Amino acid sequence: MTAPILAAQGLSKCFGSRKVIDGVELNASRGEIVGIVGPGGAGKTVLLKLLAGLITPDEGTVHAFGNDFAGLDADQRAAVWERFGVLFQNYALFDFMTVGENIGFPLEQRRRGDEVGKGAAAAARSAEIASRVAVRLREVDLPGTQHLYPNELSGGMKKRVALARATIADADVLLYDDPTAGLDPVTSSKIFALIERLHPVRTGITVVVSHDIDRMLPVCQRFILLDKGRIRFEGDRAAADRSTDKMVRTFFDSSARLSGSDKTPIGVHRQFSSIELLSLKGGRCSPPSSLEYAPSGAQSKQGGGLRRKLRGVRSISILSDPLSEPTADEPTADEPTADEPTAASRVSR
Amino acid sequence: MNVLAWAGSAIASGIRDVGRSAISVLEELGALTILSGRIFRSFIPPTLDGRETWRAFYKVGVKSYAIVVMTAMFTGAIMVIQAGQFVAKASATSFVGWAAGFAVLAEIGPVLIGLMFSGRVGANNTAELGTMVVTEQVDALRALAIEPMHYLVAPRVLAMVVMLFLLTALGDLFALLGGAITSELLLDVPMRVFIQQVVDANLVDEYLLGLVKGSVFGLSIAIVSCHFGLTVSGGAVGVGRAVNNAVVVAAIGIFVTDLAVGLTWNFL
Repeated sequence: MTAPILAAQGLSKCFGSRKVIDGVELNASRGEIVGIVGPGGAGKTVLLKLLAGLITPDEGTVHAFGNDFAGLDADQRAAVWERFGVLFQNYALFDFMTVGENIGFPLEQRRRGDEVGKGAAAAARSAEIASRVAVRLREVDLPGTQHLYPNELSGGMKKRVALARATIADADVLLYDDPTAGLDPVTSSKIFALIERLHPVRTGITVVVSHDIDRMLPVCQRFILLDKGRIRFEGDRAAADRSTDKMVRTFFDSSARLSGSDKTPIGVHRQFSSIELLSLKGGRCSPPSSLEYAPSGAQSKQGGGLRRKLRGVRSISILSDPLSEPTADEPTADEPTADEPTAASRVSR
Repeated sequence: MNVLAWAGSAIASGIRDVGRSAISVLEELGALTILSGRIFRSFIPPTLDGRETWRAFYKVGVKSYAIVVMTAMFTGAIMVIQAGQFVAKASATSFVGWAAGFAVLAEIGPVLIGLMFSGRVGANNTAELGTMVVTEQVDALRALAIEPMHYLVAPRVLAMVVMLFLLTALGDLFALLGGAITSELLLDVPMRVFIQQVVDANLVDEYLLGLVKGSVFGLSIAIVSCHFGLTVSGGAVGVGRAVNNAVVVAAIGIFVTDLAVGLTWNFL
């Protein structure tokens, strides 16, 4: 076992009175691709920023290449950050720079740090940077877009430019925050293929935060499931398959997730057969004027257990959280199966 | 008894509110002081990014001079109109240049140019930095091993101090021009005579005082706008709130520093 490149011990972080990260331990060793998954608001982005040293933890430490971020001065921290490449959730492209300048920015800054100076050497270095930018743009399927500004790009294009910027300096630690959010499936697959290809397998690590588990599964060697700021599961795909934790299985079992996103009209599934729609008025497509829930588990052997009363709506998405524990008000007689939707169903008139 | 209890509760609530506001003001002052220290530290040694500094100078200066010139000309005209009423009554038109020049160069010119600068450049700076914070661009800079204080803040501060000094110098001249034109049109005092009156009044001290004020206002606007920009939280709503706060605090800062510089100048 090699020494971890990135190690977090007892990490905790509060925002106001809300504990967003609670006692997280994480080690990532050379060559690893670690996937961080979890429901929205679980603290994934905050954890990634803690690992990047961009947020100071309230408790615990983060060591990068053996250096504790808290003990580093500004120059030492900058030296560590030079070995990082981060893709941010909001792209974080500099609005006042073109695509080419954005991608070449890390190399440009290093050139200044190296004090190349002016003249032929500087010109050669500029040409080299421009060439690397062009190559990386082709790799992310955006050839010839160097001269565009970020406000001229779509969300997906911005994401790919951000990915190109994060990876252009051949960093040893690559941190990706939701790299495929908002992208079409084809581009998402390309992005994950690129993440795998650009992974510094000999020298560093890659950490990916994403909801795109199907594409993460073949790429990541180890997964961390974060729930309410705590690590709920850590291990590889096989360990996830063996887990008896309902949440872990829901996240990693594609069939369970597929059933959760089923859009089949209500009434077809046994799970919701006890729902009684009352006074469903047509003609207006507006938010429900009232939505009443009444526990009635005893009325249904399938255990849907809810009576919903809808007024003045044509259609509504009924959402139930498959990850929440059953409560006394919502008894669940059966465990959900692949053919029983649990996460979302759409009522259509 | 109930009335007494109610009165006591109201007084306690009032004291709590005053205390809370005082703590909030002190916290902001503390944060501004710390930011000022960090800004000054970032100039030692001066490691400004040339391109970003040039961009800041261009945006702050070149894009602001037109509005400053216009403000200054109207300021000069208004001063002549105000002074003109009394000058005409006293048949002392030979004082109109001196009166308008004195007021414009030492006080009204720098303050109005500063307020206009704060509304245009300061608010823009807060919005830009705030947007960079909420869209993680500031985090991205740090992750690229670039200190935002050096890269973003120091060039802006330098640009605002230098450019408000130059804009005040330019604005004062246009204010006098505006005053001269107005005096000819409304008071029948020829422009040549008005300008001669200003020259004879020997207002060099007032002009220099105005320039010093301009620089100090630039520094105060820069620190305030950067502070509110960098401490934005809460997305677009937060940016709007920060811009609002920055403009209000910068305006207060202009009047406070105006008083401080005026007192110090007189003392010296």
